[in-house]
Amino acid sequence: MISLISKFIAVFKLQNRQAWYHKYTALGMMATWGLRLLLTAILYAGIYKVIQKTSLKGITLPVAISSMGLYTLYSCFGGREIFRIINDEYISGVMEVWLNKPLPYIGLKIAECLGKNIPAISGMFMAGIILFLFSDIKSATDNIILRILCGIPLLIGGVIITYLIYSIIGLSAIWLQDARSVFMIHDKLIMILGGIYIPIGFFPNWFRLIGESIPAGTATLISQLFYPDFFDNLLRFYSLQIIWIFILFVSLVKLNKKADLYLTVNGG
Amino acid sequence: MSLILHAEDLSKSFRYQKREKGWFKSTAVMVDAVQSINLSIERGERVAFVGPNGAGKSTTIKMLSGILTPSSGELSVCGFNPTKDRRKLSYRIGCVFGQRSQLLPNLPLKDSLELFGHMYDMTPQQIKTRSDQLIDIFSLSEFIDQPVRQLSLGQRMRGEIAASLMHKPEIIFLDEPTIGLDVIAKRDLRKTLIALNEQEKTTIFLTSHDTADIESLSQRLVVIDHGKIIIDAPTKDVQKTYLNKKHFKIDYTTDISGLALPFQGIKAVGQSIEGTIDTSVQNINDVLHQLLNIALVEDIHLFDEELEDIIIDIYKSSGQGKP
Repeated sequence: MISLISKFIAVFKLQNRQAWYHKYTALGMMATWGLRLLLTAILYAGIYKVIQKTSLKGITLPVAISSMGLYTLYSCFGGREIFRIINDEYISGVMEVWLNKPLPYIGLKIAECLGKNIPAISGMFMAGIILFLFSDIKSATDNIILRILCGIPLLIGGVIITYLIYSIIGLSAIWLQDARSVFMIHDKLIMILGGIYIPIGFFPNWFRLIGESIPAGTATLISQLFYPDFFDNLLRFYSLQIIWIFILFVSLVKLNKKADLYLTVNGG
Repeated sequence: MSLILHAEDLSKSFRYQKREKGWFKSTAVMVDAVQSINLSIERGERVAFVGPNGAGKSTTIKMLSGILTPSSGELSVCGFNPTKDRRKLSYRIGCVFGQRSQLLPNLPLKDSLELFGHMYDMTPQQIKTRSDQLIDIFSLSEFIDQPVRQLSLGQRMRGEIAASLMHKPEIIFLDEPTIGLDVIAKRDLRKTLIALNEQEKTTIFLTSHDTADIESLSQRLVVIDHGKIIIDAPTKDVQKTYLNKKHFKIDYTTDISGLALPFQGIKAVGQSIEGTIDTSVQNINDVLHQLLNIALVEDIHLFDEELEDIIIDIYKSSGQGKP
């Protein structure tokens, strides 16, 4: 087990080194994610100004911006990229190169994906720290430190769920030959339920509850970190994530075994 | 010598959906890619596995290396069942697929060697020692610090093979390693592989469409067509067995284009004649005797059929192959 972890760390490190090798690309990635967050903040500041309200369904402007910012932070961990890698490597046949290596293909690709996304994650953290220091979020909510501490496992859980879901969708390419259609459906679902378009605090309660309970929504619970009812829901959030991680992990392992038997690459 | 690979009645079938007219109409079609092949390879052998496109070469190599699960049959590579013990087997084998890269494209080649070292549980000191050895064997020093995407195809291929040898595998599977390389790069790669086989006793299992690869690299030739092995013999024996045809070109001192020629199928152009003697039906002494008496001979060239033509003949004689 330790040997396996050290292999994943080695892959992660070298992919991270590769991501930073072309510095301008890495800086571009950082700037893209940072700008995305800043633009979202400006957009919502404009909306609150137009509606002339300090809060909407109990969500103040700083909380709404932080909610979308946290979704952006979650998404720059690159979970959806794992789908593209698996699907493209299956279609192009590159997958065969990695199948007889001494570490599991999916794990290898997850380590690769995380390593590649370090510039984006760094950019996002920096932009987040700047926003945090210069925004009103500190005065708009209570128990900031405790929220952040409780949010870390939620973020990790969400990232794990995302990697599991997208790995499953990626592996389905072995049967579907190209799983982009499934990916697109799920991708939009996770974006809506994660609150990339509208903070999920604005959703009707029943819709929010359903959204939070399915894997796509459970992955993005971190976006509710600064919501007033965050602590009331925290135990339910943790439980939902643990249940889905277990179900998705078991499903992925079973699917992976079936894929081994079913796999054909390049007519062979 | 002991066996490193043993396959008995190895088969692989797969299914695909054949589309028919109408949106949701399709029929399942079974394809027998490999049909009951038997193959044993001894340690240190250099084996060429050839066949026309779609013959089952890549499917076989993928089963032998644990990528694909056989539909039936027994298989043992380095003492392991590739399907059940894929992870353990991976420490004993190396694989290179000519058209696919496993190197880190943005980083210098040395980083890819490091990555492979870590994958195979090597310590930093072992990685350094082995990298230095491979840099020496494959002459990588000129471009070891260059990002992989800036390497020529020949340099990249040397890098690919070196990376797959980091863990000193007992057998290396090479699927068309010289594809796309120029003649010099091909020659260098072949020399390096022979040196590797001699120095480290690495068994080489190679597929290639390049007959020069087969002639210079392999001691044994296995020909597969339509999923069945049709020839398995030492490369030299295959050449001898199938060398029924001798090509000749005779230059005379005078113009012979107006003279009557003793055989059909001989082409006379000016002062020369060219043709092929089929030794299975013609006596070579008789033929040459008659040809040498046509006129005063200035020069004579007699040469064997090339391996490429022999392989084409084998495919044809199997009654199925499309050369």
